[in-house]
Amino acid sequence: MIPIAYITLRELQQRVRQTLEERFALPVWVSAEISEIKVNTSGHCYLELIEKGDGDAVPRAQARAVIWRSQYQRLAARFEAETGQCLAAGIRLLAKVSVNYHEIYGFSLQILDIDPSYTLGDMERQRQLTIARLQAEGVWEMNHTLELPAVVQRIAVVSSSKAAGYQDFCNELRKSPYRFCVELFEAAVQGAAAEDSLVEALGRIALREEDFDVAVIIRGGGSVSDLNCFNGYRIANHVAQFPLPVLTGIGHDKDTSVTDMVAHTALKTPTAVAAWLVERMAQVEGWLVTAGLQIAEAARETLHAAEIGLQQCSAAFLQQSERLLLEERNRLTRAAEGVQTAPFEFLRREQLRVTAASDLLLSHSVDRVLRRGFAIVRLHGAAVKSVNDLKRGDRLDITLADGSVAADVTAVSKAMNNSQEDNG
Amino acid sequence: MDKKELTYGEAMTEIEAILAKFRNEEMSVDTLAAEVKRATTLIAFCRKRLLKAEADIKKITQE
Repeated sequence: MIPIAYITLRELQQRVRQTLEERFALPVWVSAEISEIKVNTSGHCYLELIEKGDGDAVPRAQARAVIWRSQYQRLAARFEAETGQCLAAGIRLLAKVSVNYHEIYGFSLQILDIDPSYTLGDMERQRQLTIARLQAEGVWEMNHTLELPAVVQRIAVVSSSKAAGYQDFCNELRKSPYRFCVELFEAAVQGAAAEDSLVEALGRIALREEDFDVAVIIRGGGSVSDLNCFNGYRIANHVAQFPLPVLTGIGHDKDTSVTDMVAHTALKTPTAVAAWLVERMAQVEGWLVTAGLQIAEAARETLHAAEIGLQQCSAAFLQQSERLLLEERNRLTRAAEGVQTAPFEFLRREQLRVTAASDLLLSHSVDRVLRRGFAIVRLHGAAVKSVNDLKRGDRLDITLADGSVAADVTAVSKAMNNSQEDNG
Repeated sequence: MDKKELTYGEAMTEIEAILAKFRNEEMSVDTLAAEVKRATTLIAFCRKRLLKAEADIKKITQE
């Protein structure tokens, strides 16, 4: 039996290490995703790096990594400044690494440098993918098209009760003269679990959709880091399809997150959201005041028109009454005058009839006298009753019963007795 | 006058009927004085009614 040649474990590891150091050009730039990260008390940062498969389920590669304290502060600060994001689980990064192989601790990577622009690019690419996916699914505009009620009073807030932004939001509403009902749905708005936590909180609100006018997502002010969770597909999808209008006050000035984009209305800060809500209430109040004034004005106009109509009616009525009374008065006056004058006219007519009758009677008796041989002597149409009225030469008309003659006076002789009296 | 309260309209009609008798020569001397007295009474009645109506209207419209 030939004895098997062997080496010790330590020798093996020394050979692996030696081969690694001799044959492998180091350091090298590696892209990977952080799956775990922690900083221990000594200030060194320990990470677990992975490379995900297509299904995102089982990692296709995994390795431990470390950033020594001497590098960590500088690298982390630069990374955060450039990406607006702290080093955290879920972040993909491009790191310059050297590979260590240790007889006791085994295989590990030492991160010497990080290129933030890679992460930035990756984040942006992820963001664009999320946007494209939401648009392709036809949910992009859904929350925008929801109609915000005229009066927004019942507010469901997704935030952390400890967040300064939530306090700012509540204070701003309290300062206003309007009454708001705010109910907090607690969620982690920062950190690795933020997206899950936000989605879960939104789910609780959706179950009580009828109790609220609007959902508000706010995040504590201050740190600009860790906004990336609001670019996640799940949170954006939930907000887009949320049954209530969603307002955001996530508190950042740089990029607008995808969640902001799909939300009904996006505002910069929690205070801005509260101010916006208060302003809407002020508009409603203004509208109510105007409506009240318009109603009062319309009522006044109607009353005024009715009053004028009534006045016209009353004036017309008075005028008509006066006209009627005047007519009646005239009619009565005429009647009274008639009653005063008519009897006398009547009597005068009667008198004339009597006179006419007596004249007729007289003429009949004259005729008889003439026929008995008397005659009527007239001078210039007047009956001559005395010789004193006559002188020589006068032309007399003498009427007889059957005619008349003309005669000239040739002599006038006066009877002797009582002639003076007869002339009277 | 009559048992029944005389109306203005009835009184006026009667006055005008009496005047018509004058116009149409239907008046008789025998009844002349009585007719004129009747007409005068009716005119006084109507005048009173008119004045009352006028005063009433003034009072009502001033309220």
